[in-house]
Amino acid sequence: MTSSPDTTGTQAGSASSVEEGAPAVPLVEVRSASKAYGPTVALREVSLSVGAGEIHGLCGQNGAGKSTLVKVLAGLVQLDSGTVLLDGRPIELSRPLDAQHHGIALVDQELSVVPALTVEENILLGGAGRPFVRRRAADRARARELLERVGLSQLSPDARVESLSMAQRQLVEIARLLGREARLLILDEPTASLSRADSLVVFAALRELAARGHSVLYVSHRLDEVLDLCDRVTVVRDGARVADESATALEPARLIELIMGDLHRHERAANAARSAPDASDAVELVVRVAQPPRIGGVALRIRAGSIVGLAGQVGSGTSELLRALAGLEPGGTASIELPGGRVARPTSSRAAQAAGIDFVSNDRKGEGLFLERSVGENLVATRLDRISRAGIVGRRALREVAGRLSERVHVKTRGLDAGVLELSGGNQQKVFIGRCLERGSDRILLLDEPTRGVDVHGRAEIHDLVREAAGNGTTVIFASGEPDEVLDLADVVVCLHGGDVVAVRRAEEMTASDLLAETTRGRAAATEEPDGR
Amino acid sequence: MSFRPKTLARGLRAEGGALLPVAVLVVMAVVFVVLVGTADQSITSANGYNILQNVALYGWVALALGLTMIAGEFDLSTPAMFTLGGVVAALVGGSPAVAIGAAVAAGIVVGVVQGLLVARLDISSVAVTLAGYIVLSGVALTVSGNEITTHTNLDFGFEIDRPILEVFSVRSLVVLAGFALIGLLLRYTRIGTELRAVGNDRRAARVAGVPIARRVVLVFVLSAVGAAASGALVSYSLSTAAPNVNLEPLIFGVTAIVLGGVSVYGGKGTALGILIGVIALSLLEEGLVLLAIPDYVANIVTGGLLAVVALIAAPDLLRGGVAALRRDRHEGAAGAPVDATGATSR
Amino acid sequence: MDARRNPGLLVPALADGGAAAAPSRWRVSSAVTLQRGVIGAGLALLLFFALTTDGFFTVANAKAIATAASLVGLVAIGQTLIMLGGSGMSLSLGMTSAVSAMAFVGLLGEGVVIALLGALVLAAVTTGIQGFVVGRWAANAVIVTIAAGLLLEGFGSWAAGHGDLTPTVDRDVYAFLGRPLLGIPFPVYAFAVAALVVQWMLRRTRDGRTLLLVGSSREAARAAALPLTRTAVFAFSIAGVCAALTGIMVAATQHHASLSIQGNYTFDSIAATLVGGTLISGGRGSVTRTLIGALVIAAVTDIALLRGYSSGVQTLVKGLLVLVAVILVRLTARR
Repeated sequence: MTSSPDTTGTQAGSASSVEEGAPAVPLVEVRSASKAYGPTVALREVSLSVGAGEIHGLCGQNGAGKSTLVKVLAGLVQLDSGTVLLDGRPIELSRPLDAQHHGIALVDQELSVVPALTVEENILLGGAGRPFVRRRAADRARARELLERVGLSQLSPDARVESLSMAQRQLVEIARLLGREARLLILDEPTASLSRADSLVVFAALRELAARGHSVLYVSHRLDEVLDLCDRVTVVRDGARVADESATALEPARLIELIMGDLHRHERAANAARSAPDASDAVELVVRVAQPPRIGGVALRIRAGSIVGLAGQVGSGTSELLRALAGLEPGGTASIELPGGRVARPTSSRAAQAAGIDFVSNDRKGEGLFLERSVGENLVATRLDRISRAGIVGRRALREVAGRLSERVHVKTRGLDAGVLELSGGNQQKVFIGRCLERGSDRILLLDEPTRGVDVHGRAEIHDLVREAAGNGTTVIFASGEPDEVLDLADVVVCLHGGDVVAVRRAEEMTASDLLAETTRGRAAATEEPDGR
Repeated sequence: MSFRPKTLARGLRAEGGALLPVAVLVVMAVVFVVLVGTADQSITSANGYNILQNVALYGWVALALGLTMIAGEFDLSTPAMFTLGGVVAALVGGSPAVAIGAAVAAGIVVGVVQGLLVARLDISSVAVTLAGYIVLSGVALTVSGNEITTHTNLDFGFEIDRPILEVFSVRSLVVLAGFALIGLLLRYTRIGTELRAVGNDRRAARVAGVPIARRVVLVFVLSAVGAAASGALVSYSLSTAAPNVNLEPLIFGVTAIVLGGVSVYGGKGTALGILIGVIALSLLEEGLVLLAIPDYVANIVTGGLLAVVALIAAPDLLRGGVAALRRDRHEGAAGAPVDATGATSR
Repeated sequence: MDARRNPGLLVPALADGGAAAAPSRWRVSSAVTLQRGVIGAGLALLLFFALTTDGFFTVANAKAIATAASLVGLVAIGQTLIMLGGSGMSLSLGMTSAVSAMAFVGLLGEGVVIALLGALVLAAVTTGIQGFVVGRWAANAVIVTIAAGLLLEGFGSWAAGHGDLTPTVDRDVYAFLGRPLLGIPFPVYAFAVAALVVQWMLRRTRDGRTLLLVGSSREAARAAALPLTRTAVFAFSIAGVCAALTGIMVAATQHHASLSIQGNYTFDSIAATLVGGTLISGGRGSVTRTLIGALVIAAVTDIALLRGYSSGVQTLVKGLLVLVAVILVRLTARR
């Protein structure tokens, strides 16, 4: 479906203020940087140069080396070899404080504005050179000046940040950093939580900042936005730089190719081996979720026992959709029409459970495992009802169930009594998923980033577990930000963008590049009928 | 439907902190007038004096608790510090300045120790201050020899309670001045903003460069000093200091601050709001006294009020309510389902 | 403004490198060593003082310690359940003891069985309601239980009239609750049975196990669809029953009941739980630990008493024990 690449990107790219072949001495330059974590090479001889007043995009798949590079600039990670230059002079970046001294600022995905404070208070918060007693007029002038620089001159400095849109909050945070003489702003997935309209607000502000000489390093998965906003784009793949090109000259299809590299060979055998449900006697269910403003209204007809993969970039609504179905989004409405006209409404996690829904959150430590308790206790946590009689837990049943599940998911542990904290990330994830397996027939299993923080081997094992569950009749809906994972595991791929379904395809008919194109190019694709091919 | 739950919820969250104390004060004033009316009494300046003396009694305790709560902590040791402050002042005796100074010094020591344990070792403030409560109770009993200590300087106690302009006294004016001072600190200095930031979103505050540990120690010092100083003043007023700790200051303080719009979860609250909460409760107490209502009724009234307050502050109640309202509104938002059975493309 | 002069952070991750950093393996293991050292030294000190205190190793004194530990310990069992379940603590359990004792004495005219059942049910229901509010809506347990304490006090003294109740029946009817059995004080039996039963519940019943999970992480429990409300009601109502048992036995020994029966049970029970090493945020700890905590506190208090120290010093030592325990537990807990 790359036949009609949307053109908004390339047109708007020319709005940039800096022409090609930027100033002779770049503001920040990274020269042949290399970094390895043990046997894993994160960066090999990567170079990056951001000119003064330039908006520079940084693209690459997860694990390609983007975040390592960002961390190097922020002083959080030290290079094995290579140098970082500022204004042409080599600088030392051994601590975050060093980065700060050189005017390098990082805007993280997680915002650092305090919701209960006003805009002005947030902008000036924490700056030390300030007098003890607030100088009303001076503070107000300073806040207005900084707000104006990020294009928020209309915003009242007295507005509480909790009443602002996500874009405005982001700009308030940037305004605070500008107040500290930030020269290079690194934005890591800044629009992940923003709507398209909100993104445009942030972009306008960033362009304005660039025009005034600030530099921006813009890290994003949303390729249309990168092409739209940036002057130049650096692409990293497998730890190496594969391109540093002018954004105006870059076609979306070419960018995707650069990011993905050679087309991946997918091991679809495992899925093919699973007896594909016959279309004639297939049981179908309809899933509906509405959760404004993140999800406008999604309705999907899916086949029981199939594996549906939700693909989308961070903030596209995939995670929210799963959470709403799990009864964990108080503001959302979700329903599942089961065969026979029965409609289940997961208004709470208890209701979801009663409707046969199990949920594996993407936050394993915060919302998954019971970290103070043992492996065995975690495995049986959700089925205490089943293994107890009159409220008393059967000791043998408990051992048996925990033992069977632990074997089934191949947890490497010194015993069921071992603390779950002792396990590696992959094994913890297996325990988490194991908890949701074998819960009976006709269940729905929701997985949000099922293999986050799991190594390659563990990942294959987890995929097998999910396939096995589907083979036993469980309907699986999972979300993943990694195209390969979606294509490996899913029967049907549902692409989301900005809370809307933009494409639905069978996984074997898609390549990773297709998927990336669908999930990054935005609403233009939505008008195309998914089934109209 | 003109009723918009989302706006309502947002409004409640944003403005609730400011509106609640005003509403509370109005309700309490009405209740007071009605109570006095039914008792066939007329409101005199003596009532005003009594109410302000009530404010002076636990006003600073409420302020102390409120400050820690604004910064996202909880100081359970306050009632023990209140008692200890009185005992120390009575034992030191001599010049009131020295005696009260000694109580304040004790407060500073306690505040620094508790604050450092909470901030540096990252221990739950409830655990630390509970231990502090027990330790300070023990210290108060020990230094006083488990006996009521009598002040030697009775004149001072008389002086600070003598009516000024009919309704005020030195004590109530000092306590009100304390409110003004803390109010100015919260509103017009860097510290005030930072305390609210620390209480509302500690991570964000840390990223913004707020020195978290120093601010946490500061609130615990202010809290202990406030409790100790008002305990000392009250002991002069009573001319004696009893060594036994009771929960009354804590109960009064918690009720007052939550009624005054301080969020139990930190980040929100003003000195004025706390003062209004204190005045409202003092009105209530004066009303109950005027009616000669038995203690148990007063307990039930206060307990009921606190229970309501606890419910207002309960996060999952609001969350559930908002969810239910929104659900009604968005029902059936999704249209015809998109086919994702994978059957069509073949 | 020069960025150099400004310590405000430009890099968020710097913030996470501060107090919130995960402790290294070395720090955890050295904290464990420290913990063992402190506990060992503490026990050695306790033994030293016990040996050098006249009258400590006598049968009568052992009984006194056992009785004191049992009465506080019973309330502490309930406090432990509440803390394990992640609700923090209850500040109304002492008042529950007193009000249940008053209900017991007031109902004695109907027969001792009715009186016992009535008092226990009253306690279970009143604390159960607090559990419901805390579990269902995540209301602040400290505030809810303070409020409940006031309400209990108010209704208790209202129902009792003058506040001090004396049994209208012959002492023989109920005196077994205050009399030693086979030479051992009755509260010791009650405490032992309650400790065994509750510890068994934590290990072997669905609600007990769920309680530990909920206490470990409320968010994870919510995501796993565990019954938050039922679990909190379970913990609180058992706590009420345990507290009521203490009140009833005290009333049976003293032959009267008033609000003053609450004594220091509320704070002493929290102290015993914390000294035992139960995590204040929940999820880790046990009734057995609390039993040890209650015994240690009773022994220390007893030694102080025998050596002629005032009640103030006893309280002070208790507080310091709690402080040390809280610090030690924190140092070895995961971050």
